[in-house]
Amino acid sequence: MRKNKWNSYLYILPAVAFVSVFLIYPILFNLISSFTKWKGLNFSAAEFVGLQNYAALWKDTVFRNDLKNCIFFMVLTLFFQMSIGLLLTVLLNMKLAGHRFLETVYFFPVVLSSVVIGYTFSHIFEPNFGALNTFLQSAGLSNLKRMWIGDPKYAIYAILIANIYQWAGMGIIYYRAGLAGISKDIYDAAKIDGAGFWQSFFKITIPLLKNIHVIILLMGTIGCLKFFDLAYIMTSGGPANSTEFPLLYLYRKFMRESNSGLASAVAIIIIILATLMSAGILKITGNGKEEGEL
Amino acid sequence: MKKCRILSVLLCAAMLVTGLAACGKSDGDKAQKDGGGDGKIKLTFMGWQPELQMMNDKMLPVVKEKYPDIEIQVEILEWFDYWDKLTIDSAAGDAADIVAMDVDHIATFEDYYMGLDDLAKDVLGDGWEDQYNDGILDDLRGVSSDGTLKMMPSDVTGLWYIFYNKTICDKLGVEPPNGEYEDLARFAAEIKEKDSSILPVAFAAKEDVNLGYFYLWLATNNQQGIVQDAVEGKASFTDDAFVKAFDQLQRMYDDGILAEENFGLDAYPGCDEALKNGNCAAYLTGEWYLGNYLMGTSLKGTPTENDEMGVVTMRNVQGAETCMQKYTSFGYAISNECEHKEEAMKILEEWTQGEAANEWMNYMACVPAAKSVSIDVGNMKSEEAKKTYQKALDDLNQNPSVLRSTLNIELDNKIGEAVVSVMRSGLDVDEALKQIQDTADAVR
Repeated sequence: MRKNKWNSYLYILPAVAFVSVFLIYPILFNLISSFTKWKGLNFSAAEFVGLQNYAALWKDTVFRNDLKNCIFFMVLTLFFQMSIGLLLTVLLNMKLAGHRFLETVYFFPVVLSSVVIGYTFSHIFEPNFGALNTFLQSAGLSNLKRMWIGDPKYAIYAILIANIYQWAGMGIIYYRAGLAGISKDIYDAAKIDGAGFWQSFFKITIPLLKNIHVIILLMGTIGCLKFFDLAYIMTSGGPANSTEFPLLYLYRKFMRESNSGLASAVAIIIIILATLMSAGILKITGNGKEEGEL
Repeated sequence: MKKCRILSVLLCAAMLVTGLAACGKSDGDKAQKDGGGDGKIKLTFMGWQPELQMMNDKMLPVVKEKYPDIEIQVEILEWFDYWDKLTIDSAAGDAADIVAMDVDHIATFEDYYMGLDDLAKDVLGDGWEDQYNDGILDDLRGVSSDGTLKMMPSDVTGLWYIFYNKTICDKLGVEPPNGEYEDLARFAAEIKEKDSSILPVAFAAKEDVNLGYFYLWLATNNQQGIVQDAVEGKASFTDDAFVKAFDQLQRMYDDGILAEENFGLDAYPGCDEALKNGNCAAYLTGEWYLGNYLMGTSLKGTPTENDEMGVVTMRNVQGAETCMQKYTSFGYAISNECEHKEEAMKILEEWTQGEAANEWMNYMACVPAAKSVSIDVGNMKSEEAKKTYQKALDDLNQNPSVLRSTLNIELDNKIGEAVVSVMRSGLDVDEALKQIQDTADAVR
């Protein structure tokens, strides 16, 4: 029995070592460095300053604005990704002509690199020579032209559109799996009782996919908290920080301003927010369980 | 069964060892640097300017002829990517032997790159400092915290210059700008009137930091020395010179010089391509484009390949003496990790003073830091370029000058951010200046 126990430990040792070196150690190091004034790259020059970095972040209007951007972006992203993902899944599930081809088309952006999507949408929304403004000009709609990614009012929406385009297809995968778990008999029974498409959709499909909604909410929330790539490529957080998110702020503080202590504090705050939001979502949704489910 | 169990355990152990061993640095790189079997010393170089690609064609052959035992591997990245990679490489102790450097970044990287004074004296001899123009080396020493020279200067650059396309101006019947503010406003208005599809003056206002530098130039020309005084705490960023600079920016916006379209343009590729493609009539930027546009090195194959380009210094908007922003924009540093420091110093000498430096300067048409290097004006593409180039250089050398930045990246970023917020988000000027002052106090 004891021999089996030691063998078991040996089997899990590589995974434990990997997680310790690449996950636990960096988080602990990050936590320690968040309490230091550490400018530059050399940690031996860091000086313990307690909660000073956290106080600086609390006072920093730019960081608070970044958090606001993140929450705003998160709400809109989740709403559109879930609704578009679910609607598309339901339509694809009807197995209309060409549904297999459309499945590929809708899922394709998910496997594309963020760099490709970011650059493509940058060129579309580029205010001077971009595809959208050029199209509007040639269609006689030049009054609709805007500075898009050059205007603080519109830049975040441009990034939102790119993000929804990239990830709406992911919802299809999850909702597909969820729909497969709903018995057709329920829909048949509803039809017999006179329920139409939308009634079935709102009264049957949406409630019975609660588990899936929770999964997407959790992943979407964490994804938005660590959102970086599209904003970096399309706007670098500008103009005037209107598209800056916490992780872009972290990147700027660490890479551009060499303020490693402050950047570590931002990382810890993101971890805390992710934990609290995830716990909150699970609490509100009852851990994704149906009523009466154990 | 027992054999399977032992095999599984051994496989797990092997996975663990392999995974952790893969994290280390390869000794193969070291062997390669030592030249392997051919006896050559291999040095690595990393830089940012796309023009450095010409190194392969022009500069490296010169070095190869002079030092046949030294081989150089060149890696070129875009500006922002370069500093990101340099940060990671420097922290990991994996930086190239020789790296491109500019004065704004010396403070950030000084711990990773060696002081060059002693090495230069050993390799180049006692009189090595006399080879460089007066004051340049001391200015660079003043930037590092230990007072040592961290980069060998290659060229000096300055702001602000207006490169204009004379061919477009002639076609539209518009007189090119002469650099005075009122004339620039006239130029912008006439271009807009004659052809609304052409942007009168391109300016990389999308880049916060660029707009911030321009703002500091305006403030400096309102009161010389005010920026440095504010940084040191002898003056305040809420002083009148800074308030007036915002008014001047707004005036430029209202007069169409700083057009709305500029807030969607970055320097590269945005403004650069706009000028090369004939989408703008002028480009307000730094002296470092002299080679690209006046020598025509980057116009080949573009719609403006045969256009006449000229340059003029932008004058103080108040009409008083113009103070330039001037700094050692480009040079070379040697990594602390470099194992062939003497050879690296010989390369630095060649790249900053020697024939290779001449090749570089005549390609870029920058102001050389070394006395022995000169620009052949005969290489200029057009008569307009030849006519206007010397005046632009004279202004840079003769006008009073200050550094472009505050030498603190955090403060520079804050200034750029605040300026863009005022121009685009309606942030109150007093609030913006207060935020800048708070950052200046925090970083001092």
